[in-house]
Amino acid sequence: MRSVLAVAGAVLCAGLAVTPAAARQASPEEQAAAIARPAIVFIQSSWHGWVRDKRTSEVFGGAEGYQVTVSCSGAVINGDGYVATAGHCVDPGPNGGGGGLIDLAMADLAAAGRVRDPALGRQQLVENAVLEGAKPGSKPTRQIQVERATGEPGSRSRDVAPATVVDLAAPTEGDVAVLKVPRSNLPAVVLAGDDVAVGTPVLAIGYPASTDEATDPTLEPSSKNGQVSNHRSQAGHPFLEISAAVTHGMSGGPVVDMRGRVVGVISQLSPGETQSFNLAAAAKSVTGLLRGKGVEDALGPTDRNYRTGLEAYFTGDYDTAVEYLDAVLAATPVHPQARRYRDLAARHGGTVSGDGTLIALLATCAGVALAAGAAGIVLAVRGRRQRLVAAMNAPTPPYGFPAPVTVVTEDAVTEEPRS
Amino acid sequence: MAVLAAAALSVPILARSEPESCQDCPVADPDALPSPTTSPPGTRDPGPLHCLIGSWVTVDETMMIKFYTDADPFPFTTSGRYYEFHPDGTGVERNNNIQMVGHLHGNEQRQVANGWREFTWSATGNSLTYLAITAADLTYTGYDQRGQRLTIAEQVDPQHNETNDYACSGTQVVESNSGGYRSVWQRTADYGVYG
Repeated sequence: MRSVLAVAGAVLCAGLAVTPAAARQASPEEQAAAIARPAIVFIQSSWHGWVRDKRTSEVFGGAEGYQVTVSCSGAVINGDGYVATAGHCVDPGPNGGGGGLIDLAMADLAAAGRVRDPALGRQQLVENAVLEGAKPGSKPTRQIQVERATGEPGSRSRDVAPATVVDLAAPTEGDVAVLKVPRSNLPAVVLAGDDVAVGTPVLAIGYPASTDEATDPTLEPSSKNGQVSNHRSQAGHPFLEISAAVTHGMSGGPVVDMRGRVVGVISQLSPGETQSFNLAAAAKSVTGLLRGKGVEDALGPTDRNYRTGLEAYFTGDYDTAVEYLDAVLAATPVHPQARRYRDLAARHGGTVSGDGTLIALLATCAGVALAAGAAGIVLAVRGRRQRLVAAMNAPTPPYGFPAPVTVVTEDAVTEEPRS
Repeated sequence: MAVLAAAALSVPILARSEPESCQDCPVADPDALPSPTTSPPGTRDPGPLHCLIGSWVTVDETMMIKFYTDADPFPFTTSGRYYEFHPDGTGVERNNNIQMVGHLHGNEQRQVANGWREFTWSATGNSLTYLAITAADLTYTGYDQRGQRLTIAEQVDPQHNETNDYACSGTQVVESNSGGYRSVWQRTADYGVYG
């Protein structure tokens, strides 16, 4: 009878160990977004300077100069504060963010009646402009800040960090940049290591300026799905044509595959095209920059715990989800997505790892298993001994199971079986 | 058999991984993390106003000219004079057989300008000063009912300092002064226009 009890306990434990709760079906896009979104950052690049036409030395900007702020998106690719974005978001040249200074000069020229054909005029100014700081010949000042949400979804709590440019490929030379912020243990995504195939489903993630203008301010990025439509190049630099919709403000945001790996960096719209024929700089361009600076894209322990927690959540293993996401929150208290999925897992019945329930249950199962094993050994030995004794002092119980199987605690594992 | 069972049941426990420790992960005091700082932006000499920069042709001018030594100045009208105002504070005026026409006592007087002069200038919001005539090859020839009377050559004048009022509205300038001078200019695309 006690053997039956032990077997029943073992079956129960085995069942608990391998049968998760019913999983909620999540789309690959939702899972990819869940992986990538914690690493998405909002980037603001501000320039202050003057525009000088080198043909005439006419300086535009007045006494105070021009001030331009450009909004972009980016993704943390190494938790030690490395952020990938588009080159044009931080490039001070006329084809990059500094082009905003050109635009302001063009506006002044237009107000002065000195622009006949705006497009041609801008091109002329771009070709002849020198962007300067307060001192002739100096560079315009550039200030970059990287923001990320630190509160609950929907809250306006944010961490704003200054950023420096680690390396930059100009818009005409690949259009990627790597920034550094003085932060550590940031949620990160990794770069896809190989060429992504045409037809691969992707998400383009970033902060669309147009939507932000129409809705309440938020640091929740938008995800637009699509696929890799083609491999392209510009002046020999690799780009991906994607069908995911992108718009201004999403520049620099990542294009991720369904595993949340970065395959590209949102770069530009196709000129004159109203449909989604958008271009993303290939991730290998970012890899090239990183290699040149001795930096690697890498996930930290918190990132791995987050991914394990997410995977558990999406497969319906809510206990494990809670356990791993709790570990994420212990290391990174300001991790809104970990908080969100942890709460969802708990709402689905996932238990808090800290209360020891799961551990106790698993330990109990282990106890049962080991006790069963030990009892088997004892039974075999005792059986042999009893057969010898029986030959001398019959009758004896045909079976004996001296181990206290009804008291299955961790101590039972080490308790000496009584013979 | 029981040993096998024990081993099999132990697998989930032994294979089950724990969350990775992040004990070595730095945890910074949020208040101690560097934040963006701003320094006061520099300033620069604003330079000349952009509106005047460019090339202009007069379309309607009235000026007071002392045509006769024994008569007060009287008004002449003209058009077609060409100006360029450069951002470095220099400029040039070109006259190609410009006819200035006046009337006195029922007779017509004409002054014909040919040639160019270079000048330096400065301007504020509504005041335009011709600081100096720095070079010139310009003649004014006067005619009246009796025929040609006199030809005068423009002279370099480092202390010219002629100040007029002006209003610039993109493609048009109106320059005037209290002495009866008023000139309307139209912008041309020869210089200072983009596109």
